[in-house]
Amino acid sequence: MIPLNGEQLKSLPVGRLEHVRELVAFDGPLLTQLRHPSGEQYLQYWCDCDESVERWMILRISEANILRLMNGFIPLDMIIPNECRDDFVYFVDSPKASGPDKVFLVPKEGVPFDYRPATGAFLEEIYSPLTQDSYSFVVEGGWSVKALGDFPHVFSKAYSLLYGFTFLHWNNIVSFPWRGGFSAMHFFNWASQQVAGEHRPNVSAMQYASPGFMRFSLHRPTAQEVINCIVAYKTSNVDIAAAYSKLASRIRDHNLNDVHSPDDPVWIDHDAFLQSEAVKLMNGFGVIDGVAFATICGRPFEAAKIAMAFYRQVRDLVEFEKDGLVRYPRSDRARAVGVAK
Amino acid sequence: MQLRYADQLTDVAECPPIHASPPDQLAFRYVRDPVQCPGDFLPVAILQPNRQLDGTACCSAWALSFFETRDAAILRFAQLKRFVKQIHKKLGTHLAQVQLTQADGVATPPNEYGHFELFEDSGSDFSGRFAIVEQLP
Repeated sequence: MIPLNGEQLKSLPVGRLEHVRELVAFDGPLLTQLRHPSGEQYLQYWCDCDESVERWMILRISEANILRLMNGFIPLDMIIPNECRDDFVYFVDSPKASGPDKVFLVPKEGVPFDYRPATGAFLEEIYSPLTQDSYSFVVEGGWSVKALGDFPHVFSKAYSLLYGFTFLHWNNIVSFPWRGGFSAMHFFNWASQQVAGEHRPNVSAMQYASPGFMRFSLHRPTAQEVINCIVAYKTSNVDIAAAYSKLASRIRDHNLNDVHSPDDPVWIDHDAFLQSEAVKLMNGFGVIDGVAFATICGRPFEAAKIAMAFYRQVRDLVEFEKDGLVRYPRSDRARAVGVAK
Repeated sequence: MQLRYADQLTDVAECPPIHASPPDQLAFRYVRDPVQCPGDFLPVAILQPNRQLDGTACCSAWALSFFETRDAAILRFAQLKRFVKQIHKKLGTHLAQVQLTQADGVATPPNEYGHFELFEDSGSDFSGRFAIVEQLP
């Protein structure tokens, strides 16, 4: 093993480190996030081994940097060891079988070259699954009080709809009088009430800094679907926007919001169009099958209104990023997810 | 079929995974040169008994890692090496291939990276069966 240029300690001075998640693993953990009861975050990084000992580097890292790392904004080599919050890192030589650990205190600049990740090693190349009950966003820039309130609200609306369709597998939606934003609000209120209590998105932690983070407790797979929709919006915006625009024009030009009776003969002229464009709009997001969505919604008009309302939530979420307030990770579909081994 | 480490597996939930089935395929694994048997074929749970285990990782710790293609194995190793430069000391320096048979145990379906896990049968013996293909990058 490579000799360490540091001071040997009797034991690791930081106790009670709790396992948070494995970030990289293959036949055992290689990079693990740890948390001290004080809230301080640590990374435990596999460095070396011989026949009897495994060597780990343990370093204190800000949670914002861990989030930036996890979300692919910065590579691992920018974190280890340079972003350690101390001037030193710990090395722990841990026997494979039994026996006491040997602990060394090494200045950051003394970390051997071969114990540093290669340049440009982005975690998303080799990501491992994360916990299922939370999701964190990297926040940047200056947030107004209004934006701080709006973001969770908008996110929750998109989340609730996706939760209903992808997790609860709604097979029908109660009929709403779709007339303007006020009814949309009622729909999302209803949708949010369908979300199981433990899955309702709540802001569980926030660090207001640039970069900082906002962590939601929620149903993570649904949150990932929201992100997938955001990515779809950004990458195929023209197609999605065209469908939205056609629906909006049709409803506005023909005053369809004012046609109250579902049995009114006027719908004969519009149902096929509304259904077709609603299907296109939802298919554009790539998360919910558009035809199934339209069937569950019942009437084509309601499918159109729900699809349009969902579109606006996603659009607003994208605007938060355009305004420099939040940075979304790439979608889980785009990212190489899921190798714990 | 009696799996090796069957006693230990009984303490792990859903292990081996229900979708694991007997293999019959060419497979690739990281090894040392020369191949050390049984040293290159011990699961992590044996190699590192002190390792903290939880959830699916606990089950995986009793399995051996394989890849279904040479390219998948090389790609994954190259990726790991970017994160951990000394990874060859942990995983091996060479890639070897073997024809897995149904008598070797049960294997999980390959994931999207061509990686799968083999839970060895108690009678499985890899001595002399692995052929080194190339040195790892």
